[in-house]
Amino acid sequence: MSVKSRILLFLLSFYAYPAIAQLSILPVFGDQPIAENTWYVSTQGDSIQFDNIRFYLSNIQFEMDDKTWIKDSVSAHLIDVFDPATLHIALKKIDLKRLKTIHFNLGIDSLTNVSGALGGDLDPQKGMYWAWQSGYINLKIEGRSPRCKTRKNIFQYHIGGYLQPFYSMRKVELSVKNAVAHRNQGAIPQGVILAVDFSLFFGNLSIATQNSIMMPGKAAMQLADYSTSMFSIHAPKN
Amino acid sequence: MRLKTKHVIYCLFGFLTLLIYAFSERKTTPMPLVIPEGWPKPVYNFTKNPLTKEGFELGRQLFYDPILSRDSTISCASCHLQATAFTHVDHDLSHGIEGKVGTRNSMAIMNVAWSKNFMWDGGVNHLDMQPLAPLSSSVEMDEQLEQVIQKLSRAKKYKTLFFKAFNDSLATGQKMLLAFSQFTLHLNSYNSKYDKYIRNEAGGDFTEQEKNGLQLFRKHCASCHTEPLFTNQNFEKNGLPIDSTLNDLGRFTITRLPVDSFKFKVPTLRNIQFTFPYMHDGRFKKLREVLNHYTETNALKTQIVLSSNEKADIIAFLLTLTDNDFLFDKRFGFPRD
Ligand code: HEC
Ligand code: HEC
Repeated sequence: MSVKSRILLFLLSFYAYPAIAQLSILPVFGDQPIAENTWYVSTQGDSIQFDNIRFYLSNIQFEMDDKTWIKDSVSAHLIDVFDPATLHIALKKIDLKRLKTIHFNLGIDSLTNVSGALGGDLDPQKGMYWAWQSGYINLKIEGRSPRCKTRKNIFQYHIGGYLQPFYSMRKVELSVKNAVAHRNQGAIPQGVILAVDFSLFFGNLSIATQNSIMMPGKAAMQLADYSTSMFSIHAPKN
Repeated sequence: MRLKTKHVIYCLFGFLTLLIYAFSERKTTPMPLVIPEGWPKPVYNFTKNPLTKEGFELGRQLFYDPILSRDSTISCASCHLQATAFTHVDHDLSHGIEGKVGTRNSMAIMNVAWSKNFMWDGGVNHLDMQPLAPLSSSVEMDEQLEQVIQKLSRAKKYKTLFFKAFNDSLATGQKMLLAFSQFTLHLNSYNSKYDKYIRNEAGGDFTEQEKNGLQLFRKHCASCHTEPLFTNQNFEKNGLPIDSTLNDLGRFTITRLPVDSFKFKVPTLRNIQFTFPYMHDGRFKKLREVLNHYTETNALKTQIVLSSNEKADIIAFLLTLTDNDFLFDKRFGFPRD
């Protein structure tokens, strides 16, 4: 690159690209937002508190009404429910009025899993990687419930695995047609809200007996199946 | 007025030089892997981690640095010593932090660019990811990756080393892992007497006994311990009776497929003279015991029959796999600076 164009680029970078829109992740439990040190009650009647919820959204793609597809420039985002900075993903150059369907993966695909040391949100330093049996943890949910007769009543779900037959990444596809209209349009201008309702995960599961899933296998596959039902979108309606 | 314009021009000029400096990249020195003639293509993808002298040096410092363990007592080299082809000599089960004993015998680190899976059960799917296992194991180095990176970021020495290797002084998990690979990838053994025999070089004259040993080896052992790497890179069952104190199911632990029960990664036999004790649990101290195992009735699908002399011949051959160039290569040793 010539020095001239480098300087031009450098100067341009001062004008922070206006993010035209953003994808905001809204973690909820039924109709309550998820917060620390807060008790929730599942449809099974279990009291639950969360200490840590983290998951990967990868390969996000937007299908527009003219059948064109727009790919997110970042291959994977690590979402940490208790870290607000991770709950907003900027979408450049996407006209939300023309958006038809959002596609993404919950978790990391098998090719990425065998690609060696990666950076950014995929850096194993982020704590979403298994050391003794290589592979990304797609979804981590940790917390407490008096129903768990474990040390400190802890439950831990670390869902991952990239080898068949226990490939636990899940594809999710959400049509804007079925989106719930925004309630808080004021707070999030021009955005799509991706709600993640953890009550739907816990509605499926008997935490008294299933409270520690820490490796790939049948149980992880089942939880991965449950986890896709948590996602829904809320979009501005014209 | 003129003065002001001059000032502006000087300022701009200074700014420009700074900019150019900021964008210019530091040069690293390529240090490609030696691929001996007749060897297969390495499995490791070098395009994602081009080997450089600076990367190798960073990897070597990391490999020998106990800063990586929780109480700064254990380094990779504690269990992987150069003099014994980078394995833990004379320990059946490796021990690590506070003397805690692990569940498996340490493996030799050699010719890893040709390996697809790592560890006795192949649980690690890429060389880059291998250091994560000892770093986080509570019986080995017992440290969280995040903490390791913080320690490295605080050390001035590593700021310089990371900058030289990656043109960026910031330590990250990714860069640390890539640097470990830069070092271990170079731990190649290809100058044993056997290699010289194959290449028809000076120092490669086999005795009749060694020649006979090689023939017997090719007949009975090479289906798994395939030349030139002395492993077919697969997981195989070699008929060891299970040690009920460990109940190690090997490859099954990873794949959960019943056919994989008791299968283990076929280890290389290079430098086998020094990598005792043998097998995943270090149950044999002597090569003679290994050969006695292989001739037991139920060890392998087709039983191997060997006379006592033939066993001695195979052992004589196995000793030709010792590579002193490798075992004493100063580039791989403790970094004295
Ligand atoms: C406490 C002893 C110990 C320490 C410390 C240790 N290792 Fe190991 N290493 C082992 C054992 C034991 C195995 C085999 C483990 C298994 O199969 O479960 C092994 C296996 C390996 C392998 C796999 C070889 C193969 O062919 O599959 C590599 C590579 C390796 N270690 C590199 C390292 C590096 C790099 C470090 C430092 C970050 C390190 N080790 C620290 C004991 C140790
Ligand atoms: C069916 C495949 C197979 C055949 C045939 C075979 N081996 Fe092995 N060998 C293995 C496996 C697998 C291991 C590791 C087993 C373990 O640790 O549980 C091994 C381990 C060894 C070891 C120990 C290496 C170490 O670093 O601990 C030696 C030595 C050895 N074999 C020599 C031989 C010889 C000599 C022959 C021929 C007489 C032979 N093997 C035939 C599969 C085989």
